[in-house]
Amino acid sequence: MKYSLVSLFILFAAGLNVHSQEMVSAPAPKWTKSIHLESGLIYPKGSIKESIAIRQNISSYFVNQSSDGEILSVTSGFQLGMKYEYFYSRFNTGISAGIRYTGYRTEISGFSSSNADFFYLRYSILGTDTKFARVKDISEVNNFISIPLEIRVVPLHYRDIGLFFRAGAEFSRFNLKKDTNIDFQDTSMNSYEDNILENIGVTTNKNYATLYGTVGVQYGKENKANYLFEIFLPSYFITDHNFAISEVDYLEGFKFSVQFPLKK
Amino acid sequence: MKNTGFLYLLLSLTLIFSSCQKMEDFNLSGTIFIQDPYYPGLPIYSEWGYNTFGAYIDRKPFISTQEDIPAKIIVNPDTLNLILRGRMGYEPVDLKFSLKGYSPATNFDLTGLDSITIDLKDPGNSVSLKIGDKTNRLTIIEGELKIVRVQRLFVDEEAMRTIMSGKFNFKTFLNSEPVAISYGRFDLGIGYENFYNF
Repeated sequence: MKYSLVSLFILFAAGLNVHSQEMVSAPAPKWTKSIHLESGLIYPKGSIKESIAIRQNISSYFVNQSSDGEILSVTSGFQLGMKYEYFYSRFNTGISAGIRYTGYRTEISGFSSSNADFFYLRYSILGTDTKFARVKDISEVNNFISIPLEIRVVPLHYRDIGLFFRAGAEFSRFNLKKDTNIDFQDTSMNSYEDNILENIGVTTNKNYATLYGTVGVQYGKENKANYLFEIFLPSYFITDHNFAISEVDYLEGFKFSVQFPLKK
Repeated sequence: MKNTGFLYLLLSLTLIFSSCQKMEDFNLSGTIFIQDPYYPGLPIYSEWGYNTFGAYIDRKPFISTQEDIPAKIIVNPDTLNLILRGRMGYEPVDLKFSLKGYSPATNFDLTGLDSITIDLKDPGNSVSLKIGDKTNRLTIIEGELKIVRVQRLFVDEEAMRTIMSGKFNFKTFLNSEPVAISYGRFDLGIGYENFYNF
C-alpha cells in the first residue's frame, strides 16, 4: 500500500511532465545544481500504545462511553535540513540528497474526570496487587539525524511559479536524544519514575525511516533564489516502534524551503 | 484505674491515626460506563474498577447507574453479602448474593476470593432480587458466580481500594415463571464507602 501510493504518484507526476513538455519548449541547460535549505512541521497520526495502560483510554470507536474523562495523545515534529539537488531541466526533474534533523515530541495528557487534572496510569500488576500512578502527562522526545533521498518533478511552470511533486525516503541510525518523562500529580512519585518507565516499556527502534510524497509550489526566477512551499501527502514510517508511547500510522505536515542555485 | 486510662489513651490514638489514613480520590469511586458492542445495553467486562455491572433479566438490561453506589459488600459473621444496586428500565432493582463461608475482615482481604467460582445452588448460598418494593428470594435452578479477579489497588504506592471483577449467570423462577439472568458481569471498586463488616 505504502509503495503503491508513492509509485502511483510518481507515474502521475511523470505523466504530467510529458504533457508539460509539449507546452513548454525552453532551451535550457541540461543540468543545474542547487542547495535547498528546508524547515517544516510534521504531524504523525496514530494512537496511544496498547502497553501504556491508562484507565479510561478507550480506543475503540464502536462503544458508547459514559464518563467525563478524556485522554489525548499528540505527536508533532520539527524539521531542518539541507539538500543538494541536481536538476535535469529537459525532463523538469531533479534528484537530491542531504542531511536532515527531525525532532519529535509526543505528549499524552488528559484527566480522569472533569474535576481532575490527572489520569491513572497502571504500571504494575504483581499477584493480586495492581499499582496506578496519578499522572499529569507523559512526554517523549526523539531527535533524528537522517539522510533524505528525493526525486522532484516540476510538471507545470508558468512564469515564476511552478507546481511540483516530490517523492522521497529518509533513513537514520542516529537518535541523538531519546527521552521519556512522566509528570506525576504527587511529586513524591518522582523517585519511582525510572522503575515505572521500565515497567511500561519505553524501548524504541534504533533505525528510523520514512517514505513520503509532497505536492507544492515554487516561486522564483531562473538562476535566482526560489521559494518552495509543500504539503505532505499521507506518508509512512517504514520502520516500526519509533515512538515509545504512541503507535503511529502515517504522517502529515508541511515544509518551506529556499533553493539557491549554484554556479557551474 | 491507671491501666484503664492507658487503654483509653491507646484506643483514642489508634482511632486518630486510623482516621488520618489518606482517603482515595473520589474519581476512583465514579462510574465509567462503556457499552458492550456485543451485548447492547450492558457494560463491557473490564478489570479496571469502572464501578459498573450489568446482566440481562430475560432480555431486559439490569445495569448500574451513575447515581447509586453500584455495589455494597456486607459481611455478617460467616456470610458475605454482595448487593448490586441498579435499574431495569426505570425500575430500581437490587440483586443480592449471600455466600456462606466467606468473612473477609477488611476490603483488602477480599483478595481471598480471587479466581473462585461459586455454585449458587450450594447449601448456604442464596440469591434475592428486589424489584421496586417487592423482594423475591430466588430458587436457583442452576447457576454460578465467578469471581475472575480481585486486585488490591495501590495509587501512588498507597493501598486505596480493592477491585473485584467477575461474571454470573443463573436460572431461577420469578412470579412462578422460569427466568434466566444471563451475561452478568461486574467490575467493582470496593473501598471505605461500600464495605461493611459488623
